[in-house]
Amino acid sequence: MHLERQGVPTATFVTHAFDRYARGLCRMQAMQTLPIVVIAHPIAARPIAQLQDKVRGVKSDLIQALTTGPTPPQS
Amino acid sequence: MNERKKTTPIQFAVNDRLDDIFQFFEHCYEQGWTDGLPVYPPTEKAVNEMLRYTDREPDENIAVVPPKNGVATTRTIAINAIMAGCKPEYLPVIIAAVQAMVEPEYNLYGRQTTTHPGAHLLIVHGPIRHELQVNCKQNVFGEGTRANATMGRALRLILINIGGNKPGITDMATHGQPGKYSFCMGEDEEGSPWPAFHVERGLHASTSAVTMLCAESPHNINDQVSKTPEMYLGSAASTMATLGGNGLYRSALQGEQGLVITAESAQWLAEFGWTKPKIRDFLFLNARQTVGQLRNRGAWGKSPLPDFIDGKDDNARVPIVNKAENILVLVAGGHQRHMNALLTAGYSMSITKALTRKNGTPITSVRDFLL
Repeated sequence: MHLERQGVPTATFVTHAFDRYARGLCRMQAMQTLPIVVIAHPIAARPIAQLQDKVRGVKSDLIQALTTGPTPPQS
Repeated sequence: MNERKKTTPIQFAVNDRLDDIFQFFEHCYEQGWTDGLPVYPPTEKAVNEMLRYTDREPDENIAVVPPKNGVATTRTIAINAIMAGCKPEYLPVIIAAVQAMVEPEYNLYGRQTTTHPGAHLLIVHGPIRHELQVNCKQNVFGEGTRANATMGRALRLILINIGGNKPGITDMATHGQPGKYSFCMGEDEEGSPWPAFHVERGLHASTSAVTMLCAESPHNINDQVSKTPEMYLGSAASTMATLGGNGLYRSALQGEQGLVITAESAQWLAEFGWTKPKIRDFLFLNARQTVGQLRNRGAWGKSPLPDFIDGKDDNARVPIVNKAENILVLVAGGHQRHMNALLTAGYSMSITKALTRKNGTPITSVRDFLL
């Protein structure tokens, strides 16, 4: 959020277990349209190949997040 | 700039009948305004009575409470304190505690939203402990004392109702801990052979104050047998450097870890010439684990090691904080030689605030506001 407020495009990774939480916090911080990229939970202590697969699966979301203009604060 | 949300108190009638009181609680629970336990109705009369114990205006902004960035006013703080069961005279403590929690070093946004089981420990210092009957002795973290039970609970309700704390929605604590209902203690200053905690932080002994520390559940350390301070505090060091604790993996960051010892133990240690600084130095040097033990477990690799630790040396001993001063030593509890470790997430600093009038003058009694 801090970077987006400074005009830097970002992609915030969360797992689906934290999706609602992340969007709720964005709403509370008036950043509802902050680009959030959701990957499947869990990720901790998983084999690297499995993590790479999860990230490949959201490649288009990631590209879209980083090539979209910065998120203006919402009211 | 973050949006700041002013909370407008909602008014509705509660008749003086038990059934209505029960319905009031059911309504509050359904609205998500409680911690799950029954709450007192914050009637206009009760709120006005509590507001006598401050010289701040009822609608004065005291703090912006994350993650919702709700504005805590004197009145909304009082409403939550009454709901928690506080006596009116507890208000100055609650106001100072809220001010402490929103200091940037406390990192309340992170503490409110983390998976870590930190709860907000309210530590009360100075003469106010006696005036409000804050428990500093037996069962200091346990049940049975109204001031401890309700002041700690008031902070939780403020975090819920003003700060937007909601388990599973904004509060992602994996397990949480019972202290999230209420977590409050006083320091046993009279039983301690050493300067009180708030005096160490530059306040006068006669000044009443609060310290907020975001900590895990107290972890008991039972050492009835050790005959030397080194052995006794070695038991504490071992517990504080548990391999699953955050401190070992976060010690390059700004964080603190705490130890609570009884007056009985403190006086025994003092007989050997030990002071709080000496205890801190000992724990800093001994509450450690080797790099070899830590590598590839716990939170290894998520934060850098302190710059005085060689991460390539498996025998290098990693501390739980980055300097001895960041180990907090408090005296409280009943008899016997139990101690309690207050471990933290490792990236939050405790904050101490004097109880003052609006102009910053320390109060000598909560009754100062009634004069």
